[in-house]
Amino acid sequence: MIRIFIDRHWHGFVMACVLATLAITAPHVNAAGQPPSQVFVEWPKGRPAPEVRLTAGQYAQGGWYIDISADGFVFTDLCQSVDGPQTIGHAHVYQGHEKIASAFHPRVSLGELGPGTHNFSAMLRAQDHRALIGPEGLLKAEITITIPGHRGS
Amino acid sequence: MSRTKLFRILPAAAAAFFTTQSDAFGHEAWLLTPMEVEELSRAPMPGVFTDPYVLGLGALAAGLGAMAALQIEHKHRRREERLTAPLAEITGGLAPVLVRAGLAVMMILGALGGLPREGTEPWTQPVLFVPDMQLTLLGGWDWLAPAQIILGTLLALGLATRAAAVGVIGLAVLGAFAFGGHFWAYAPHFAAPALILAVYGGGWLSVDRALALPPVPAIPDAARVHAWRVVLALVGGTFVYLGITYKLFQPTLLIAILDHGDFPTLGLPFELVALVMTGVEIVAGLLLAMGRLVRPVALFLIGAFSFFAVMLGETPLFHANLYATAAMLLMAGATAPRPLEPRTRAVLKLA
Repeated sequence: MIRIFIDRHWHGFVMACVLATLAITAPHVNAAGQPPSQVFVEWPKGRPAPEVRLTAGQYAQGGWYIDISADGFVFTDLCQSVDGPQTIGHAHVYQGHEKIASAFHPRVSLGELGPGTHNFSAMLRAQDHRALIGPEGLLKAEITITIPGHRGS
Repeated sequence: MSRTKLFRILPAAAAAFFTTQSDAFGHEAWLLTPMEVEELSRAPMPGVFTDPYVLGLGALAAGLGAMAALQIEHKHRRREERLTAPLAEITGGLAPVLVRAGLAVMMILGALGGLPREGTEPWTQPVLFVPDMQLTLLGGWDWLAPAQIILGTLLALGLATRAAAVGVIGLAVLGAFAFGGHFWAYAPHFAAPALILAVYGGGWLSVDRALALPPVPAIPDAARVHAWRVVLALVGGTFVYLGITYKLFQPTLLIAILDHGDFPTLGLPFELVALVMTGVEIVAGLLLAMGRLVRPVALFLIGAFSFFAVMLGETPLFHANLYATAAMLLMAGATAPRPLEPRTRAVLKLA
């Protein structure tokens, strides 16, 4: 009788055990409240997180650029082999909310900018494109470039 | 509707579906905008995922629901067998075709850079199977791209299918060495359908069959049954792993994705919807792994993949292997399908 019951219900029993185990363990794991590792990678704890700075400039021959500086962060091409993936990588550059470039070097050319206000931001990324995150949050900076004149003139 | 008509309409509908969702990036995590990424970095862990009482209640509800479903399956098993009997006739021939197509699409597109993730231009970065496994990140593994193209082409043609399938299993294992632990989230969902092909061969529309090549080596029935169990365990077990690792333990990401896709919640908070989805994925994976309710779970998975592809504007090509695997499970159920009768050379001459 017991054997028949077990044979018929052991799948349900296994499922109950797994679900109960998860219900007990999940609160402990989630209590740490870490940001999802699928999207973020933490800057190494032993090293001070860099302050990301953007400076804009204009080429003599025309056209604008942004220089990205972040102490301790090394820009690299994707193909380069990785020793410390948390401090090496590239930056994603956005105009507003639209990604306009992956910066594998500190200088990013923006081309000609029309009259008006242009908001740019750069977010440091590890080589696998995950966003780098420090104790204070994402490693990113913003800059606004204002070109005198009227839009459309 | 006649079977001929059905065979004409279904591929056309599938082609339309697979090609109309092509302007978005692949993996869910890479759909988020910079502002959403910033919000996600600050998002607190939702209370329902840290409260043992809520989680306990959720586990109880999921367990009771699953047990009720198991009882229904037990009661209606004979009816299911009767209704799906026509499928049993064609599974051995059709399922390998679908699996070959699903794997070949992923492998060839991936090797050519046609599976781009956010931040990469299409056709520039070859990947191993899935968008986040970029081969250019590694040193010395570039050869995996041409290997994928060769194996994918063999699978598409159904030429030396068994050998190519063993090669795919090899790639899945090698990927874990190359990319590390993250790759285990993907490897079994490629190794499992490849195992099916290694056991069943190319099926219909394959060069192997057209040439009437003998099955080498012949697979004994007992091994076929064991292989089917392994396939179910791999497919189901991976869904359980994904549900736990990427949803139960990273719920803020799932919530951000739901928010991004304006997921219809029927007035429920995203946290609760995320918890329900997590539970459903884990339970579905467990059922598959144990070989229970295989057809309903497979049908549910196909619906879920399609729904999310539409909601997130994601091309379903990124899950071609899973579509193929789920379709195969839908046809075969929990029982290992009968292999296709080998086509003899004499029959070929007569034809």
